[in-house]
Order: sequence, then structure tokens, then C-alpha cells
Amino acid sequence: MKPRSIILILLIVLLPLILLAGASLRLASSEKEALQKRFRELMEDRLRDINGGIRRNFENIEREMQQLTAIDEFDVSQLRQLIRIQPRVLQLFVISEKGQLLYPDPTQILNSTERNFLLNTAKMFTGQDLRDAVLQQENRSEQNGMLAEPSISRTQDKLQDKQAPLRAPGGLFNAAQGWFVWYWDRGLNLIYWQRRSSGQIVGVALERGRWIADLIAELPDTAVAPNSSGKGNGSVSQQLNPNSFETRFRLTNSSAETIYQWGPFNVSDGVEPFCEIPVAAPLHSWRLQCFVPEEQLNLTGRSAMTGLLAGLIAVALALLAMAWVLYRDYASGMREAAQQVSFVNQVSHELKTPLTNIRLYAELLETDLASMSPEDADRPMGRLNVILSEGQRLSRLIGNVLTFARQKRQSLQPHRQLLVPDELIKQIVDRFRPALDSLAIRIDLELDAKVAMPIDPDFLEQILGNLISNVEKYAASGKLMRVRSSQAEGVLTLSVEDAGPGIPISKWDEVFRPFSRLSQSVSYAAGTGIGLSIARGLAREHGGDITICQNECDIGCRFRVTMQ
Amino acid sequence: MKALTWIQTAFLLCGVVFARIGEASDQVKLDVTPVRGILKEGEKQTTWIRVGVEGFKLESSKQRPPVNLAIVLDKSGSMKGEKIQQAIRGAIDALSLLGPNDIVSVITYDSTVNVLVPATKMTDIETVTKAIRSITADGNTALFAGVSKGAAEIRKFLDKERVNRVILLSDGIANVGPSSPGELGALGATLLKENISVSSLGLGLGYNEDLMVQLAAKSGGNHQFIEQATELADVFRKEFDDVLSVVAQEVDIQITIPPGIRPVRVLGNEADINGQQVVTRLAQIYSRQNKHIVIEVEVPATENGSKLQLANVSVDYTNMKTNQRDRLSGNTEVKFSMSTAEVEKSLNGKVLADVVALVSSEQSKIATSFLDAGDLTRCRQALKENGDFLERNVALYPSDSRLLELSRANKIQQVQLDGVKSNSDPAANVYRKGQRALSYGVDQQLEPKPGAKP
Repeated sequence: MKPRSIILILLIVLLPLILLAGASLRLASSEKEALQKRFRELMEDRLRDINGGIRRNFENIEREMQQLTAIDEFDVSQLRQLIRIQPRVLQLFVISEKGQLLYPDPTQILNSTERNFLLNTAKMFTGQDLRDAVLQQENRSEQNGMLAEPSISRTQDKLQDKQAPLRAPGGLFNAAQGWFVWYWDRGLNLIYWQRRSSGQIVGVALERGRWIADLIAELPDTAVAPNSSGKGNGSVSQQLNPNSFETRFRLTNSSAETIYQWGPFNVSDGVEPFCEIPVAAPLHSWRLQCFVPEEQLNLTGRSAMTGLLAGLIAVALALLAMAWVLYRDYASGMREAAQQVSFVNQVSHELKTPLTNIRLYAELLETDLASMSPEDADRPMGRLNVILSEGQRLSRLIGNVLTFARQKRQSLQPHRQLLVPDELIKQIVDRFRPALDSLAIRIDLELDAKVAMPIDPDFLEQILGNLISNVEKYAASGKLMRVRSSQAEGVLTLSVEDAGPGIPISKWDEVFRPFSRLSQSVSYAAGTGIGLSIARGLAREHGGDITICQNECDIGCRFRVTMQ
Repeated sequence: MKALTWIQTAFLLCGVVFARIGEASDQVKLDVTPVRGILKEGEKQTTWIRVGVEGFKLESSKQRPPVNLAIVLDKSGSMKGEKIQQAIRGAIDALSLLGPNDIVSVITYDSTVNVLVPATKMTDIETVTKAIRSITADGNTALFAGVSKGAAEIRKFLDKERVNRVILLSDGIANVGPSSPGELGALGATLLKENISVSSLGLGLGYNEDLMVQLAAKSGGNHQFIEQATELADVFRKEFDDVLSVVAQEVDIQITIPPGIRPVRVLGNEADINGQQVVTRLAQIYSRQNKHIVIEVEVPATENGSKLQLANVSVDYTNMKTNQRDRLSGNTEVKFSMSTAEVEKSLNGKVLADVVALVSSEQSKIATSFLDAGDLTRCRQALKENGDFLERNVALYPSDSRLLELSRANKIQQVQLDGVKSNSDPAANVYRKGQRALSYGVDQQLEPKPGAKP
């Protein structure tokens, strides 16, 4: 197989394959993106479900605390008792209608819990910090469309200065209850409060360790996988089922520390979550995160990729098969043609020998007839001339065929002899003279190449013969053939002009291709269509070329030959 | 019809009254005693009152109250190998002590928590032991979450008539989720309010003893320091024995101090001092256990010959034998005298020993907090002062072996810290764990555990 055909076949196979692969890769990657998006939505839905559980948990706590703080009248020991028995409660507090802290009362003797509480929350009841916190809380509530309103009244007064009542700007306290977040002990603390009909505010600070523990108790645990080997390789819908592979869910606090996590997937440090959402009120600053193995994400797109790959391979195989079939047809065609050409060559060789003999004996006969009386020899002489000219024609044809074959085999080399071109040209033209005369074509010779030069006479004969033969065959209607020759710096230039129908410019290249004819019609002049091709090939072998030029008078055509 | 009901009710009432008298041996005993019955007249002074309760004897295991246990096992990577194997063996072995009326759940934790056996009656022991045997160790230590889930399992069958307890085993530092001693202690305190105690078993030298002790102390559970994994089976069994011998629960002690006398601090248990009122809760009293707290009070200068009421004590508790809420009360008074000899003579040696043990325990905690802060000089000094304090009191009351024991332990501690240059020194760690366990033992008035101290 030739390298060119290998490249051709590869191109035939690879080009469409590459295009197809590119297109389907894009399709697959968008498919993968869509899958991942769906997957992300799915996981976010799960997070929202979990978040719903957390919200319900806090709603329950809120209800419980609402009951607990439904206190209108109290004595301190009663509140202390309540704190002692209520598991969730860290500390209760009561603020009077006028904004005065009634319990825990900083002017009275406090127990250690009350004291610690006041130390931790002093600013909450007194300072500027509270104002900021309240405003923050307001903003947050508005953003989340919650009812939670700022809770405890604010004031610039110090805790110790009990006489100055806490001031509560009325406009802010339309709400009756809400959550409040306050930071102490390096952590977030939750405070629930409600305003009683008397205007008194009763609040409760929840024990942080406890509500976190309760939250954890509400969240799922990590179930031990019954069989960890059965993961992956399912259908896409199976892969999208979050239960069919390992995940890790995580609850993180405002400082992004893990509070609780579950799910068998082990996350290495510093890995970003696949998706996350903020936790339900009042834990806005906490986040619920979901982690998914990297392979899982790739897996969601993998089946599409496998399909794509299979498709590409199938297409490639089909293309290869097609290319192979085409190549086989083409190769057998080529073989056939080669066989035919070689057959024609052999036949031509075989024909050449008897034809040479025929021409030899015809020429001998011509000499014999010359010695006879003119009246006796006249008629046979005429017939003999026909035999001779037809024999020459046949020789040329066979010569053309053989030359063509040699050209194809690239075994043609000029055998130069030192000769005068004009003499050769005259001989050749003379050989055509009877045929041209019979067609009434006038021959003009303007020869100017009288210096001997190294030249292959066979080449020149064949080139010029083919050109003259073309005039005879195709341009007889012009009734004129002009042959010119010139020499300059060792280059012989010949030109053969006719006054025939000419060749359209668009066909100028085409006429030099083998077997090309200007018309395929049967009635068109006879010829093999290889003459010009051979002539140009020979001229090029001889260091020159053949070109067509526009005739000076715009009729017919002119072939210009150079040789050196 | 109506008359008949009345008569029936009357009989029933009589029955109850008689039954109460008949069951006197099934009552917790209360004892309120000052260190000295006679105080020096005319000077403001500090004295101590011991409030002791004593559990009655549980006759046999048939009588014991049912228990509701959550076993929370650390299966983090550090537990790999013998530790987890011993823990599994110990837990399974101890479970054989339970009966079909008991409830158990098993929770394991590493980086996450797994409720291995949700709260279930001990009717199918095979399933439970099989599950425990399947445990393998790996990962981090989500201790807080483990306890949270354990408590949640307990809560499924939370019942006043049961002994509710989480048994936590850990050998490491909590590193997932809340992990400060304060947070764990706070959680423990809220669990106590629900009548759930957490016993913490600390294995090896790597665990955070402060955290484990706080969790146990604040919830009224036991804390044990286990040096070798091979001790685990014994420790589990001992813990189960304790749980199975509870005779009273939710023991609320309220002490009213008359005006004029100032309650300063309470030793031996977490307590609230609300003015003249002292309230505290003991999670439980075990069979025949002596349990006491000590109240330090400031007595004003009082003239010779007068009497002063020191404290009125009332105790409410759930009697686990009768499942009733019982109430006890007691009070104590002191006399004032100008005779030093009389004052010395009125010393109650037993009470003094209890008081000294608790006071020295507080003192040794202070020493350890100096060590934690890296101040070895003041740590040694505090230890020394504590040693002197103990020696003085041993001289005062030489017949009490416990004070001698504490004095010796103090000397060992001083030796342990010899040559220690930083608080991260392994020897410091051994000391710290030993001290916490010892203090815990003193505070909880446990029998000293042989072999717990090096």
C-alpha cells in the first residue's frame, strides 16, 4: 500500500471521527454538568429536609420555652426551683415593663449561676453592644422574613446603677416574643423571650451544651453500611440516589468548626463542601454542609462517557471498514488498468515489427516504381503513397503509445546528438506534407535555427509530429499551418500555429492531461488524447516545456515549444 | 356504697402507715453533724457541718430497680488493637449482669456516631453481643456527639423507676464537635436534672481527664481512670455493680442556714447557695453507701453559754425499692464556751476526717490548675501546703486511716512532680490523672481503687 493511500484512508477515518468525538464530548460534558446540577439540587433538597428537622426542633423548644416563660408573678425561689429542674434552662430573667432587671437582681445576693450569667450577659442588658446586636438581629430577621424581633430593652445605663431604669423605645417592641443570640464562653448562646400582657419581659437563656446535644440527638447517625462493596456502576438514576453511595453531612458553627457530622464518607481536612445552606432560625450563622466523594461526581458523568466512547469506537470501525472496501475497489481498478496498459504496450510492440517491414517494402516498391515508365507507374505510385503515409501514421500512433507507457514508468531519457534543428524540422514537415496537402492545408515555414545543438531527434520528431498531427486532425478547417523556429542561448523555440477553431482559455491546462479531449462526442475528430500529454512530457524531459498562447490574429491556436 | 368506700380508704391508709413503720430499714438515713459541738465564744469563726446520707442495704439482686443503660464506646483510631478488644470483652461480660427488664443501648463513635444498638430490652442478649463484637476502631473522636446520642437513647425509656445511666469509654481527646470541659460539664449538669448520669471511663494517659471528670461529676456518675486495657473488664463490672445497687435517686438536699450565719461554700457536690438556702442534688445513693457534703459556714461572735441553730436540713429522694418519694429532715446546733479544752474535746474526729478530705481535695485541684497553667512553682507550693494541712489534721485525729492515706498520696504526688519541668511532661500527665481520679474519689466518697495510683 502506498503511503499516500494510507494517509488518505487515515484522513477518511480520522477526520469524521475527530469531529464526531469533539461534538459528542461537548454534548457529554454539558450532559455531565446537567447531571451534576441535578445532583447538587438533590443534595440541597436533602439539606433542606434536614434543616426542616432542625427548624421543627427549635419550634418545639420555642413552644416549651413559651410555656416556661409564661410567668406574670413570681418569687425568686420559685424561679430558682424552675431553673434547677428544667434541663434545657441555663438561666431565667425578668425585665419589668419599665425596663428594669427584676431577676436576677444584681443588688441582691446571687447564687453562682446567676452571678456568672450576669457577668456574661451584662452588656446585653446595658450596653451599646446590645444595640448593635439588636439591630443585627433585626436585619437578619427581615432578611429571613421571620417574626423574630429584638428582644431585651436597651439602655446606656450600667448594670450596677439599678435606679436608672432600662429604657425600651416602644416602636421596636411590637412583637411579643422571639429568639436572641448572644455570644459568651466562646460560643453562641440562645435566648428566648416573651413579653407578657403586663409588659414584663420574661426570658430564658438555654444551656448551650444541652441544646446542641438535643440537636445532635435529632440528627441522623452514621449507620453501618451492610456492604460497602456494592457501590458505583449503577444506572444514572441509581447513581443519583444519595443512598447508593457514601456522603458526609456536617453541621458547622459560625467559626466553621464541626459541631456534628454523620455519614460514612471520610472527608479530608480543608475539602470544600459540595453544597451548603444556612441553618434555620435562630441558628442563622451556622451552616449545614454536604460532602460527596470526588469519584462520585465523576461517576455521575461516567456512564454517558462510556456510551460516547462505545459509539465513537463503532463509528471508527464502520469508517475503517468503509475505507477498506473503497481502497480494495480502487486498488483492483488500478490493477486492471495497469494490466490493460501493459497489454496495450505488448500489442504495440508486436505491431511495430510487421509495420516496420511493411514500410520498408513499401519504400523499396517506391524505388522500383521510380525506375518504371511514368504512365505505368502513375497509378501504383499514387496508391503506394497512401500506404506509406498511413504506415507513418500508424508508426506515430504506436510510438505515442510506447512513449506514454515509458513516461509512466519514468524510464524515458533523451539521447542527445549534435544536429541542426531546422533540417530535422524540414524532414518531419515533409513527412506530413502529402497528408496536409490532401486536406488543402497550406504550410508556412519560417525557420531560423540553423546552429547545430545537442538534441534528441526522436523527441523532436515526436513533439513536432504530435503538434502537426493535431493541426491535421482538429484544425484542418483553418487551411493553414505555420511552423516557426528560433534559437537563443542554446534554447530552441518552436511554434506551431493554425487557424482552426482554437482552444478556450479555460481548457488550456486540461488539454495537456492524458486522454483528455475537448469533446466526448463520437463524431469529433479521431484521436487517442495522449498526444499533447506526451509532447509536453518529452519537452520537459528535454529541459523545456510546451505552452499554448493566444494567436496573434485571434484565430486558431499556437503551441510554443522550448527545448534545451 | 359511699360509706364502704370511706372505710376501705381508711383501712388502706392504716396499711400504708404500718407498712412505712415496718420498712424503716428501707429508708435512707440522714445525719447532720458539725465538726465541733462546742465553739469558742466571742469570736467570729469558720466551721463545717457535715450532711451525710446513708443508703440502706439492697437485700438481693431480685429487688434491684431495673436499669436503663447506654454504653457509649470510643472506637477512634487510637483504640485499635487490644484496647478495643478488651472494651468489647468487658462490655459483653458486664452485660451478662443485666436481666430481661433492663434496657440497654450501644453507641459507638469515631469521627461520627453510630447508634449500634438502639435502646432495647435485654431479652435478646445475643443480638446485642453480636453487634458489640462487630466493632472495629478507626477515625477521630466525636465524644460530645456520642454522649448526646447516648442520652437520646436513654431518653426513649426515661423512667423515674429506672436507674438511667450513660457509660462512656474514651481514651482520647475529643476533637470533633464541642470539646471543652465546660461544655461537657454543662451537658452533664442538664442530664442530672433529668435523672440521667454519665459515668466516664478514661483509658490510658491520652484522654482529657478534666473533661471526663466534669462530665461525670456534674451528672453524678462515676469517673474511673484505667491505666491498662486489661483492667477494663473489672471496671465495666464495677460500674455495672454500682448501677445495679442504686437504692435512692434524685436526692434533693435543702439546707436552711439561720440568719446571721453565712454559708461560704459547699464541698462534695455541686450546690447553689441562694442566700441562706443551700440546695444540691445527689444523682443517687448506692446500697449501703455513705455519702456526705460539707458546708463551710461563718459563725458570728457569740457569747458564752448560748446555743445556736446551725442548719436545718431536709432531704427528698426517690426510694428505688418502694418507688416513692420519701422525705427526711434533721438539724444541728452548736454551743459556745470559753474553755478551749471543752472546745477541743467536742471535736468529732470522723466528721473532721471527712471535712479535711474534701478541703484537701479542693486544695489539690488548685495545685493542679497551677500545673495546667504551667506554674510549677506555685503548684509545688500548693501541694506542700496541702501536705502540711493534712499532716496537721492527721496529728489531730490520728486514728483515721483515710487521712493517713491522703497524706501519703500527697507525698507521692510531690515526688511525682520532682524533676518535672513542664506541664506537658508525661510524668505531669500521670500526676494530673492520678490527682483528678483521687479528688474525684474523695468528692464522690468512693472507696479508693487499688492500683489506680502508681
